[in-house]
Amino acid sequence: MGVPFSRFLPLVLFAALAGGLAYQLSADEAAKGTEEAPKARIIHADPMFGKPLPAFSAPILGKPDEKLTQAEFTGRPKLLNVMASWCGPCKMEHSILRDYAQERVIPIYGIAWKDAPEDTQRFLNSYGNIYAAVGSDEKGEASIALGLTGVPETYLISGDGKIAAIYRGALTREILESRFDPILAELRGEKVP
Amino acid sequence: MKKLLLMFCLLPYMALAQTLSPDVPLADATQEAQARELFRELRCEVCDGQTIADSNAALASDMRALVRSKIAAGEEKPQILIFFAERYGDAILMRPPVASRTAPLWFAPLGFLILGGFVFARYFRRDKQVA
Repeated sequence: MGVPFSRFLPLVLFAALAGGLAYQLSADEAAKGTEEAPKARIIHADPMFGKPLPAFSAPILGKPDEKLTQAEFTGRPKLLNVMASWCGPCKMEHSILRDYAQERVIPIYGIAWKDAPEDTQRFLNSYGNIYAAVGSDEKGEASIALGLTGVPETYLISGDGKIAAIYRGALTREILESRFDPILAELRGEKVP
Repeated sequence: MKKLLLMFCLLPYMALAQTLSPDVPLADATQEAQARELFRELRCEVCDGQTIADSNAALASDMRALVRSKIAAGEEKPQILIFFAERYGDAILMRPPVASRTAPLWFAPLGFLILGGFVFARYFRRDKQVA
């Protein structure tokens, strides 16, 4: 006497659900290794991924008459780092970003979020100014225009002004190499390492 | 030593030192009402289950200020909601739109309810037959 299939239906449904969840969880890990998908999925899932850098405007630190805008991000890939002098993780990633930008020969621009210009300046004086230019976003308006959720956040902008990669949080060397390097190489038409 | 201890106790409050945008209501009462309506439509990005109307987070206060300035500049409600949804995704809308992409979100519970009811009914009918 066979047991009817419907008795197993809940078990089958559970297995399907568990399998689906396990697949989604492991896909992020797997994406790092495979050749077809060298870019981390998490960057792709971001609402801002692939979009043109939105219009924003922030007075440039030390040159308050000039503005840092999205127009600066054309021609070749550039990094945009949103930070603040009061932000601890920003200090942690500062030297990592400096080394990375130097080694990859990529210009890096800053936006100081909710930070008084004199505080930003003091921060750069003691930690080193790694930026081609820093926009002072004291009121946080320019940062919301970018879709910022907090500091630090780092954007890789392609030569045609699109957001090619985003990382929300403090960067490490590993994150830069696994998530930014493949995209940067692709933008520059190099072979993906 | 005492001073040091005091400084240490105040350390957690450092996080609060970041400036909040002041909540200055718009002079025009109708515009202010429109702005407040929008505050309740937008989810606070850095909180759990709060709208920007309810949140004290710095980002939420900045968003309120931005909504007010957009209303004052004559922008319409849908336009402002689209501005935020483009940057933060549909997740920022307290009422996400029904679209093909979000359809499972809206209709899956109904599907599960029907499926559950079906399984439940069959299960009990069989039990009755056995008895």
